[in-house]
Amino acid sequence: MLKDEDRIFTNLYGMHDRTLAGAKKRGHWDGTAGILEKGREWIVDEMKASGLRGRGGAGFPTGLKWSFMPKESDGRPHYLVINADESEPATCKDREIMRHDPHTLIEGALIASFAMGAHASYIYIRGEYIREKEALQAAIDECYDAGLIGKNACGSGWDFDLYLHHGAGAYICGEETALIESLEGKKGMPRMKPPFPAGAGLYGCPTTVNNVESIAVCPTILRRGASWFSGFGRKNNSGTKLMGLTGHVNTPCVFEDELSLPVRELIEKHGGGIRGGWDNLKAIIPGGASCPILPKDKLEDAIFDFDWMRENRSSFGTGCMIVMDNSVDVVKAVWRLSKFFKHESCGQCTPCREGTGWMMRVMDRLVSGEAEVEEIDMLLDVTKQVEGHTICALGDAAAWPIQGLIRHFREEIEDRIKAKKTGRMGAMAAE
Amino acid sequence: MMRFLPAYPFVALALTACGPSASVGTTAASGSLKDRWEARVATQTIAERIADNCYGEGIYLASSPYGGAVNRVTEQMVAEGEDRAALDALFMTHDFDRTMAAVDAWMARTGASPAQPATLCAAARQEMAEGSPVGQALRTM
Repeated sequence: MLKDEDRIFTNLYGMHDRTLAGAKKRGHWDGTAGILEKGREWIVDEMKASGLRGRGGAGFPTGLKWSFMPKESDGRPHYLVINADESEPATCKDREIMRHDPHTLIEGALIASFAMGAHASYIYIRGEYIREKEALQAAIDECYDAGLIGKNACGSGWDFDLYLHHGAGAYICGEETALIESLEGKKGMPRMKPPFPAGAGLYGCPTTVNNVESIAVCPTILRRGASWFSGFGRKNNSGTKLMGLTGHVNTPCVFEDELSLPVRELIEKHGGGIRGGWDNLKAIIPGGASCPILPKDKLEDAIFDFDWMRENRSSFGTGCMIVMDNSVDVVKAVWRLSKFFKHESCGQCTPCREGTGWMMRVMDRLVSGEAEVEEIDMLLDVTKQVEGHTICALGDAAAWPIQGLIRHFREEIEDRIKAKKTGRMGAMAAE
Repeated sequence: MMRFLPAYPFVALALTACGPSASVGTTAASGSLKDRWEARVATQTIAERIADNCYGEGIYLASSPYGGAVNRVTEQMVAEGEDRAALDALFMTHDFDRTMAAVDAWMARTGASPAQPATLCAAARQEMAEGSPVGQALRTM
């Protein structure tokens, strides 16, 4: 168990004062000007050394991403955009930061913006996050009033403005280039890359888009040192992380712990165990709806981090796990995800626009058992035609849960089809 | 009908010895700690319901160091000198169906409905204009 003194988020459950005064008591906004005095290069190098990987799902090294920003301005302003459009099903970790510990994010935004030469930063917050917007805006206002941001932020000589932009409830706007489009007032459709945002992002200017948690952890990393942070977790999977447990655990929660702990330990320790005991576990979706499902037999010795999940053909994603016990109709569960992705496809790319609907309709037939066994491979083939053939990762995200289902639960699908043909449908499949 | 007393953001409801269909209209300002805590939680819950539906019209919850109706009310009352342990004990035994019944009663009394946000926002503006406890739990921005 992570020691209390090693927690970055000290008000995760909102039990303490979330105002500036409360945040300062808990050690935030401590020596921020001193951090800025150390210079941009020091900050970026320290972030690289910490091994922090992006907390939004892709896991790209944060310090490296920051280093892609031009060192000198060519006359265009630089921007930091913070992706608070947390819409992945089962993922609700950034929300806890914004509503209970917003000053970690604001302090991080100042430091990260300074490190990338940005005088302005935008937080793009999910449309449904009303309480979070209130809390965050109140915290931003406090910081302006206290001189921590604005002109001569923290007395550092650096001018920094922070804007909070409320989204309108589209999942696709969590994709970084769609988010930029939306922020510019356009329809939230992803852009082709290149050019990457670091070259031409918001308003055609150099831009870095980071997840809320990635930014919120940086002040503490810089205060306590890169080696402190990299001391947690396995190599290449450093640090502490906000993780979540939803579904059939006894105590669903969001918690902070170090990476690379066993999945079983996390479920037992933070989730209070599986409903009905460990043997009642059927599968997990490790880090949000787009991550391929993993069955129980893969999870006995599973490690919860980026590399283990990738090596086992899944994904760590946001670290917010959906846990399913044996009562779950796993085919129907994945069908529901297919429906979600079909609904959220922006329709820009043909393989995604048509493929997500096609996949959902085949999944309809698999759920009811009315498909032919050959359609399973046909569906798998379609997922391969969608995966990697779209501008953004939504196509991949729609394909991966189905691929995971077929990889691990093909027998269950086939049994259902056979049962339907022979008129012996189980109660579950007939629902 | 005396709905509120000025010093406390109470919703008008009589929770003491009432079931989920507690009648709305009496104040608990001078009642027991339990009555006062429950009434304030109901007030805050109504304000949250309004803010969730009316943010598009610029109506938000009033700022507070604490989020969540229970947490916010409990911390406010502790700051006013009430005993935290007693308030925590109230929370542990509280039947939140009673809070929801009080919220529904307020909705019925004001003619507001989350299904028709315009009615809810109109009622909210009225509460704010009156400076009522529900109105005081809201702000515009």
